[in-house]
Amino acid sequence: MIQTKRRARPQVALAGNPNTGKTTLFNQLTGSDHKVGNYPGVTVDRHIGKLLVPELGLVDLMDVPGTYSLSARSREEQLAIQAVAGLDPCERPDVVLLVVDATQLARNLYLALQVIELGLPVVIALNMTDELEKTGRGVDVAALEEELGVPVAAISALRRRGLAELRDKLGAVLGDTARGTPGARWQPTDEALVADVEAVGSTLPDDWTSRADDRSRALALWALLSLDDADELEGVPEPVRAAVNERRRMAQEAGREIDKAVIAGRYGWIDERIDRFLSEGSTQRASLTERIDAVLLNPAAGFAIFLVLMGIVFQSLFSWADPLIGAVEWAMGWLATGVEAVVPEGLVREFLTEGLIAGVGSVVVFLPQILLLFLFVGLMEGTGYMARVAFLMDRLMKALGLHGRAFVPMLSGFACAIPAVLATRTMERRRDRMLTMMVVPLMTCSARLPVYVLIIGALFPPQKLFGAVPVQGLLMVAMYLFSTLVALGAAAVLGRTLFKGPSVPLILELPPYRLPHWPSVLRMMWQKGSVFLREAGGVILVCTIALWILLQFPKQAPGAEGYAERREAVAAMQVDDSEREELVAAIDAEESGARLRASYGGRLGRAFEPVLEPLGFDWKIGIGLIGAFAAREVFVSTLGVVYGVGAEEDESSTTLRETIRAESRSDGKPVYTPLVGLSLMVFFALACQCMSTLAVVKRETQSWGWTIFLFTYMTVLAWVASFVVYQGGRLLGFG
Amino acid sequence: MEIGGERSFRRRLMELGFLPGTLVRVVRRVGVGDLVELEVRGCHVSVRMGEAAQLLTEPAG
Repeated sequence: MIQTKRRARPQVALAGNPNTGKTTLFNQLTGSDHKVGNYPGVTVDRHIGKLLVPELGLVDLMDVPGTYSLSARSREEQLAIQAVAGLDPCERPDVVLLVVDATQLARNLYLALQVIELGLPVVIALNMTDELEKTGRGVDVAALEEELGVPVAAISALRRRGLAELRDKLGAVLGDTARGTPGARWQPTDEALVADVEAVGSTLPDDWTSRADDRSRALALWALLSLDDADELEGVPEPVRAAVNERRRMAQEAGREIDKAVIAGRYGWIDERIDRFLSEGSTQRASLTERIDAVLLNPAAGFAIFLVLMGIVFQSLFSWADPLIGAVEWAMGWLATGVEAVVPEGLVREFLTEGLIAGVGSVVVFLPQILLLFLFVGLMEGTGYMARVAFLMDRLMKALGLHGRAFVPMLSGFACAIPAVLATRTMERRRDRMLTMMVVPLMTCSARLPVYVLIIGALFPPQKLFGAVPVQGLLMVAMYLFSTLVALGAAAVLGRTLFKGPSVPLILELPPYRLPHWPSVLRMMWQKGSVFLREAGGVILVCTIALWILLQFPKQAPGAEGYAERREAVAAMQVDDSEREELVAAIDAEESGARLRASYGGRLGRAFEPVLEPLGFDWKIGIGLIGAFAAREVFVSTLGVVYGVGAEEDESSTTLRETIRAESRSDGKPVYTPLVGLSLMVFFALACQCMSTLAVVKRETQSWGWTIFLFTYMTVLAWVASFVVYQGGRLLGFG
Repeated sequence: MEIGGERSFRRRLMELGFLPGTLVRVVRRVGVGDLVELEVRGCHVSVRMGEAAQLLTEPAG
């Protein structure tokens, strides 16, 4: 297909190795004007910004995921060649702006040779020149330009040096593309390899090659190095695959190795010339990074520091976010009071305050934790520490089938699954991200705590085992251990079944430590926050309102007139005001309890009773479970309403605890025994009782299928575990 | 040096500059876990010990 769509602005693709300051340069060049989307078909962020070029005006700058090479095996790696070469579904860029790390010149030039081969106009931003100077080395830019044949601008993205020159050179190439297209620098000369390239090149479709010989050769080389029976690449025509397989088989028979010939050929080209443009430094001392790593990667000290740093991350999510969350809740309360003052009592007012404002609040309340987590993620990525986290955690996480980088999301899951799921994007492979997302919601998040506190406080005695160990505290610790073990077990099982993939040998670059670029960190926080509000917020809001309707309608409770009469009677009583208020509040609570029990949600709870009965739950607990879908801690206030003691009772309320203890079945036996409590806590530990989690998982997986899978497997797991606890306990004579 | 093992692992290491005749320095042999940190052409790369066994090296003179 030929691109017929007219583009408003020239498009520039920004490519480069990982850790070359590509993101910093992107932010410096585009300022505040930019948006984030997804690459088509995969959940990899695609940043597009507007860049001002002299005499041309605005052009679109599109970020390409960082890569060491264009050759690919996974879908994620394939994005680089699609975005740079403009293969379907990506559009062909007018110019490729390639960021090259001057301190890692040889390795970066390897990618540069590949990009230049493709025959697209190229401009090189030679970054980190300030760091290079510190090591006593220097790059002769004119010599580099001469050898590569494309314009090179020496810059420091962090210090904003050389950016004007870069814009000029970009403008010059956009105006006259011949300046950036010198043709392939290295070409195979070996006869057999030339034949391989021609054979594969002849099978390439026209929309890949545009019938240009140099582009055809470059893509043939790409295919020869990328395709085999184990690759996960999409959209590669069958004749191309067949040709590559045939040539590789022939090469093997002849004792040749195509990969090595091509890679060594390119590096040979670089090694021959590197002395012409790179001057060696005089001193050869151990770098600062190596000295820091001697401590941070030390088996004892490094691990201790790692634990302290992770402790800070966890603590901040778990408790430092609290004042901010409190502020959000206060603001929503203030808004609701304001509405109450303006809107007359009635359905509209109730919808506004209890449905809409509460719904908006239940979305915004996640922002503090999301922003905090991405502050830390941004700092760890920006400084280079994230690679060390993967290094330190590799053995543990590998045993569970997880990537080393999954540690930060898993840890964050103890505070809240929402930011944790968003943080899975720090992992490159889809399989690693998916697996982490499927188990993070099992971690004991802070919303489960109020439920545990209520149940433990109401149903388990404040005794001490052996006179020393408090039973209640022990149970709490046991719940944390239980959920962690289940999560790790689920990771091990899912990783070996559903997400079974070829085990990938780890190749982990440990980039030099650098000071973080604060504007980039802040921008990432801002983006993650706004993407959450935009893409998950709507679903959460709609679900909150739907739940509100479910639990509020129909409005008329049976015998509603009776409550009005009783209120009138109280009003006529000869008591002082505070006592009268208490009596009215008691009647109100009783009425809303009756209304909830008669609501659609209440009926649903009753309908679910046969399913919940084997777990030891009655239909009133069922209503609580439905309410808890908005957020697990809502279980507590929903129970408060169900039992007619009011929604204001919290988990430490003695009234609510006593009511729960006093609840009895029709045969007079208590509803809540310690065994039922245990069964209920196990259910809460494992069930996916959180629509916000489902909303972000939908957003991150871009798939309803996986979202439904997550909900189903967790709920089934919870049901079975609670069933085993309750029925097993009864067989053993408890409860 | 030479690299054995699975194709994509070989290819990626070669693309990072691990090629026959290249000087490789072992920066850290045993960190936490079972990783080894190598330096080639000024670039620091970690691989797992078991997988590093596929890198055939000989001591530089």
